[in-house]
Amino acid sequence: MLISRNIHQTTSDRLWSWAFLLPVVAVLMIAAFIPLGYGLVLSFFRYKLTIATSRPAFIGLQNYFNMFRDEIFIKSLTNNVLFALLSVSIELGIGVMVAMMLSDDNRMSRLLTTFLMVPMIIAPVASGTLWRMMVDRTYGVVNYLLSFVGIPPVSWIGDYRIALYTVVFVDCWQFIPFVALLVLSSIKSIPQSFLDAARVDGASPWKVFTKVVLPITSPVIIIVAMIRFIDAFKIFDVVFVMTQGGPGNATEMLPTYIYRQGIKFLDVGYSSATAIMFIIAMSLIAWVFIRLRSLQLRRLG
Amino acid sequence: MKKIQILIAVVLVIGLATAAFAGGGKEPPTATEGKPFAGQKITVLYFSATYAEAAKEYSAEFTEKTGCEVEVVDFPYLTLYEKMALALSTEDSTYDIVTPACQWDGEFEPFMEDLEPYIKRDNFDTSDFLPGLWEQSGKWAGKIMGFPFSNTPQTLAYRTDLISDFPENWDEFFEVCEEIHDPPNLYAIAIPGLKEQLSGLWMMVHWSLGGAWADENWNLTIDSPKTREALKITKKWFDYSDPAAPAWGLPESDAAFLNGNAGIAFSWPTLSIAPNGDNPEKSKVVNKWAIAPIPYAENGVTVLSSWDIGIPKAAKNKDAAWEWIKFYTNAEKQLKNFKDYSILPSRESVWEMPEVKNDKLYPHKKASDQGAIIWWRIPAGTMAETTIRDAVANYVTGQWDLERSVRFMENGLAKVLEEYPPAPGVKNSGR
Repeated sequence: MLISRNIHQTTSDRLWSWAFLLPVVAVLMIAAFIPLGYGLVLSFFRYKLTIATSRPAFIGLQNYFNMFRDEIFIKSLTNNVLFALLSVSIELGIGVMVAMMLSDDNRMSRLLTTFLMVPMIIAPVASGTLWRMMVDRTYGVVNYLLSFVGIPPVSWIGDYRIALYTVVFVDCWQFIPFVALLVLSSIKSIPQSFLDAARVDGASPWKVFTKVVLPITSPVIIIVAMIRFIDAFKIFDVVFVMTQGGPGNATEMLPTYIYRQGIKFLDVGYSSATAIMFIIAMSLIAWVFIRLRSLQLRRLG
Repeated sequence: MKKIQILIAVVLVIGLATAAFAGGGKEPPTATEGKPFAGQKITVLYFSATYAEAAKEYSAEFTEKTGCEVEVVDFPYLTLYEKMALALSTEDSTYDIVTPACQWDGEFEPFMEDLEPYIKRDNFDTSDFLPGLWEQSGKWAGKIMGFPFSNTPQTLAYRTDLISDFPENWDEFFEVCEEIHDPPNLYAIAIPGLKEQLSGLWMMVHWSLGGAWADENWNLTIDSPKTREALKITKKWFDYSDPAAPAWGLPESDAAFLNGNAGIAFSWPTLSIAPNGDNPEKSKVVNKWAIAPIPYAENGVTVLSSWDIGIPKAAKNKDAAWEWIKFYTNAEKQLKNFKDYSILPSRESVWEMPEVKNDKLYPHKKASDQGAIIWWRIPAGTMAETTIRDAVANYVTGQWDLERSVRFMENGLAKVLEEYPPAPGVKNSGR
């Protein structure tokens, strides 16, 4: 623990601590908790913002029941779960590998680490637009390059069976560097003596990785997984720009669905219900990951 | 410590004094002779592209004439609706002028100023606006909430070197496609397959076949053979288009046509094909293209895209805004819009002008006369259109079968009407 509770804290110290925390609490109350509470209230109403003459009608849990009768919502949820599982698994797997490869402290590693940051610093809207053009079946550079190795043109975002995986690929392209950089910093914080001791004991590189590096970095990997999992559930820009949720609803995700209900239809009651469900699901996911991390930290002593 | 406190106090006093004098030093706006709105400023909200470009060009002339400054704010179609809807429904006074697409009229009408008193006050002649168009774009339930300033029926662009007579029905249409289709060099059709545009294209087929979503009393009629036939026709288009088309929007589709890779373009030709089609730097089909109304089928009815211009109830400078409306929609400006920006006129007299009659875009008039309509203009119209959009997109991409798609349309429209029914007395004037 970097910060420990000081048993000699005086009342004055505690008051000062709260005073410094107050602005953050106030901002959170105004910007997060009050709107969230209002959203929760709205979720029990039928209310469309642009019908000036209508008043919000209390309908209890109807919005929540409607959600699970709406096949586009179910499709969005399924897509989102599949997208999150696939993209986070791939990003973690490859990200850890890349971090291991870059863990040597030499000039080449430092140079590659710098290059690695390029996809991360491109705005998702820009990268979505870029990839949308690059994966066009007829005019895109991807199929052009593949044609040199005899692969026929593929409709990357026009074929509903492939489009979701294309979006997963673009997400991985953008966020593998993020995973790699965080894991890399964790690897670099491992004392050299731990690694030397393992080698002296005759451990193979694989054993060093699985028995020393992975356990020590696992709390960081769990946190990275949590951040990426929640981010993957919030994906919007890339999908919106690349496919608009199509073909059909093949790449429709929960955020694009909520956007459609809330911003496009201004159906604030139903969109609030979907958003509340979304927040509950995300909080549960975060809780699971935090528990996992605590267990792992306890296991590591 | 005391010195620091004094220093802070001095800085604060100087700051406050500067702010007070900065505000107080400005003279209140006064009207100068011949410039009744001198010192005022209006903010106008337009759809990006040609409409906003034209408005920006005219703003200097307007300022010169009236003294009123004009700030043109524009957004692309996908975000314009939400910006406008939020501004209007929250009674935000940012915009003095808004330009709703005609399908949003029923939704925005409660937030729009009634223009009848302005028309009467200035004895403004409205007889020149195409009556059928104005009913669908700018009027809602007897209230005048705006004037139409563009009138674009959905048409098709085609290659005149490949097709001599444009087909009259959908069977002939596919015969022509079969003749000219020669992939990968030339695809018969260039089509924007993204669902945003595709559903509109399906509607034009559906309506040209005599189909409708509901009768005038909002009883659903969507579960019909016409609906199924229209879906089949829409799906068949993709047999004659580039396999990339399901992921294309309008820019890619228009580019394929201008690049000479397609014989027929399902598009809004005024947006890109007309401005660029005869420019050798941007087109490989210079002098080899024309516009045609869609195949007539049963009645030739097509989809209408029209924008109207009105004043929000919450606007701050309503008189200056009204002045801009008169200025932007007059015949002179509509002719300039047509010639320089390919914006089709909403005034009968402009359509009759020789430079319009002899233009390549004139077939739009025939399409307009055959019948151009929009989907439900009720507040829940956007929801209804999205239901259609999902069903069409899932059917043509092979994810849903015909019956599932029709069932989805019917159930979705029924839910929309049940949850957000049209106001009492409002009839279905569309399809």
